[in-house]
Amino acid sequence: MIRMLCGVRAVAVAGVVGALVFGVAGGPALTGPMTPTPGGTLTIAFVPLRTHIDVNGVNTSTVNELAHYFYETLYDREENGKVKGLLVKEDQVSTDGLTWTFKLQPGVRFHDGTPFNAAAVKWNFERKIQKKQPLWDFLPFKSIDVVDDLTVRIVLTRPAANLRAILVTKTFSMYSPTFAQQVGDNALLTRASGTGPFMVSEFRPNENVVMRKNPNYWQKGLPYFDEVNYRVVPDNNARATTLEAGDVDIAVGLSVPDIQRLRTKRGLKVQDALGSQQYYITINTRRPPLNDVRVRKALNHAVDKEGIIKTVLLGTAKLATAVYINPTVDGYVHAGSYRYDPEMAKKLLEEAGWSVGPGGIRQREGRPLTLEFLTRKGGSPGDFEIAELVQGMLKAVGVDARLQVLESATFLQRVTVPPERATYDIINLAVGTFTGDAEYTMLTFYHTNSAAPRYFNRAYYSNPVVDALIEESQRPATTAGRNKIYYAQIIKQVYNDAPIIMLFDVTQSVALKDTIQGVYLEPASNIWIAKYGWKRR
Amino acid sequence: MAIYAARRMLASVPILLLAVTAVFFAFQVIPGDPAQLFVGPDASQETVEAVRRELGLDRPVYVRYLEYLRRLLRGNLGLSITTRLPVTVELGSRFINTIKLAVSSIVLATVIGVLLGTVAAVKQGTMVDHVATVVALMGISIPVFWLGLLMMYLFSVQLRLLPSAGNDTWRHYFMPALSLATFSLAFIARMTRSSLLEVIRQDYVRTARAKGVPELFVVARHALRNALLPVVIIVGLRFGYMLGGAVVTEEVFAWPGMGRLLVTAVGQRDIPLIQGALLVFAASFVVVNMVVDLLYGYLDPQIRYQ
Repeated sequence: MIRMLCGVRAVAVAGVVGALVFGVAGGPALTGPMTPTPGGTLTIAFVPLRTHIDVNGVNTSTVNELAHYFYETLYDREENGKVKGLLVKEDQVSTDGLTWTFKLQPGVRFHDGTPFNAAAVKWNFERKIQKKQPLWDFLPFKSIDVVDDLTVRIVLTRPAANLRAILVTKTFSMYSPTFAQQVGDNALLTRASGTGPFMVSEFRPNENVVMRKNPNYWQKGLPYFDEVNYRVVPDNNARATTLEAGDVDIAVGLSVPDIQRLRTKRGLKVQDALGSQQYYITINTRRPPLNDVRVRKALNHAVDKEGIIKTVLLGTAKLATAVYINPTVDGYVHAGSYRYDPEMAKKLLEEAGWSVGPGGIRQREGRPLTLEFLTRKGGSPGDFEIAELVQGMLKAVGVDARLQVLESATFLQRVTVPPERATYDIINLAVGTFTGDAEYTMLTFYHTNSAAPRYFNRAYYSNPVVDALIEESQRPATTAGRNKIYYAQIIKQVYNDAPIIMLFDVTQSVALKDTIQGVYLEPASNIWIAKYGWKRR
Repeated sequence: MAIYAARRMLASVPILLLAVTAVFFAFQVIPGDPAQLFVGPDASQETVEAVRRELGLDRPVYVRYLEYLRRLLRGNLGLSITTRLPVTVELGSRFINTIKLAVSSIVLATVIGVLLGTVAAVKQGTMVDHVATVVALMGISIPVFWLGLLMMYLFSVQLRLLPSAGNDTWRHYFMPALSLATFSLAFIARMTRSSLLEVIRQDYVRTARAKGVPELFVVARHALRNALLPVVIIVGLRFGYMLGGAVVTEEVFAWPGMGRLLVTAVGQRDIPLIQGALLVFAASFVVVNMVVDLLYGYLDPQIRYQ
């Protein structure tokens, strides 16, 4: 999946490490406990934000990152990956897993003063489903009832053990129904009334967002900042420079070399956290010769992933060990990495009938092994450089990958087509599992029905055994049960079917002034959470 | 003169309409789906289709075109696909910002350029002339992008003298205006120099010197006035370009102008916004050219327009 910023977290150990990554170099040593000091303005240099702030209508990391200041969801995810209630105080699930009763937080008001209550929750969900907004089909809702002002009862069409995780996703934010009905759908693209710790006071598309402290925020004592200011600085280098000049407090979306450079700057620090973002290369499994699993495995063995991590990503990534997902996703199991072994790759290609021909390119029955390789440039940091290296590595085993660089919108359209209209063999992509739960991957990547353009299975991967397992996996009442009984099998099977060239799980990094505290990466949605941050004096 | 101006403006209307039509139909063929771009890459096909219906993009091309035309003739530029804000609102503040940048830039370029060119002409053949020529050459050769980042690093990071991005205060103008000015500055300097050299050889300049007029006045009052005529054209043209093409400067310095807006709109296939921006560019270019023509006619008594 194409992503600019995606984040995920490793298990608890990495979480603790992440929490401790303050002042790597150039910052004063920590002495004693840190007490948050209220006040001040937080200025953040941001990547281009051409779209709007109607987070329920999209599923992009840039809008998610903005929305977390002023909109809230029913559940939230802590830094260690644990899901806990936010606007939901407590919940009850019936024994058959079909009836969920949510008790809402009392005393919460929207920015327009109207109360957050069960009716608002119902309105928001119904709107989502009726308008078919992103991830609406992940809500297996049969009925939504307002039991009383603070109690909502939802009956499901099937058990959904991961419902809490899904509801963490920012695209299920709670809007004020009164405000929405008052200003209309169009205005919600540029104005917001949520329950969050900050209120949008100014939004200029692709320029800046000014957010002021919500004086009536329901969590007393929060937030600390008086104002948060997002400033779009389109150029990567300029974004790093504005931080160095001291004009902003945080700079996101920096290039890998810039991040490395800023680690050792006085007054600045870099925070790292393993993201759920995985770089990979989709293989069109319907197009010969890629419909032969030996060829696909050969492509995997031909790529020196560790080499690429060292050169392009300067060490800020780990080998991918499962198709599309990593340890930050609930349901993940270790499947494998297809170690770098060009001899094995050559052997597999020979077995598949492709022998070396003129120019070192393999051929079979007179036809050369040529692949159409599509990529963007700058869609994700280092994407083009990685594609170039992969092209070279494939050449070394006799595969001629023709690399085509496409403009963003053109690329998106070209790779979102049904299999009979696909004009690509392999595509350079990235994915982030927004819900932090592997069901998302099962339904949008693994299942036969998830073939593009319907969902994101651009490999057109199809395995009836896997399909059957996925369908049955919705039955267990707990995610642990589901993971053990079904997901472990599915993930290993998909790995063996090699629908993609597996690459790596990338680390997310952000550079900031060392006086800024309380910023952390939210696993899954891959965004840096600063709403509860403060500035040390 | 007023009639001439009015005629020129009227003549440009069909051209503008043609441009807008060409853009509209071109974007129907160019790859890229506004509905898909609206909702982001992580949306199912059903969601994309729902958005397409909501945005009215599922209607036949000619229906949408006629609707656009009808609105346009009433002065309504429609709504931006991405933000559903009126295109006029989106363009308004951006265009003003671009004008501010272009004006400060062209003033800088003209003042420095004329000065440089004059000095080079007066001191023709000397070291000063050579240095001025090199400076002009650098102005044309150095990419705005690189120069901008370099200045930012020097003045914002190292010296902490100027702010690095945005357009909030008057201090924000220096670096963007200067970066943008370097290219035009070079042209203006060269044109001033060659034009002045030609004029200095004229008889009436010799006469002025013979009359005992101080050299400074010879140059400033008599020679420069005539020499600057061709320079006016250059300044006008460059100003027109600046209004339309300061994208790189705007991107480096996060200047919220029209160039950036147009580039982003193209990336989003936000057709109403693209057409609106194009109209503004084309219209301002027409106006600038017309003003230059009129100015030339005013300055040079030998040319008069019917």
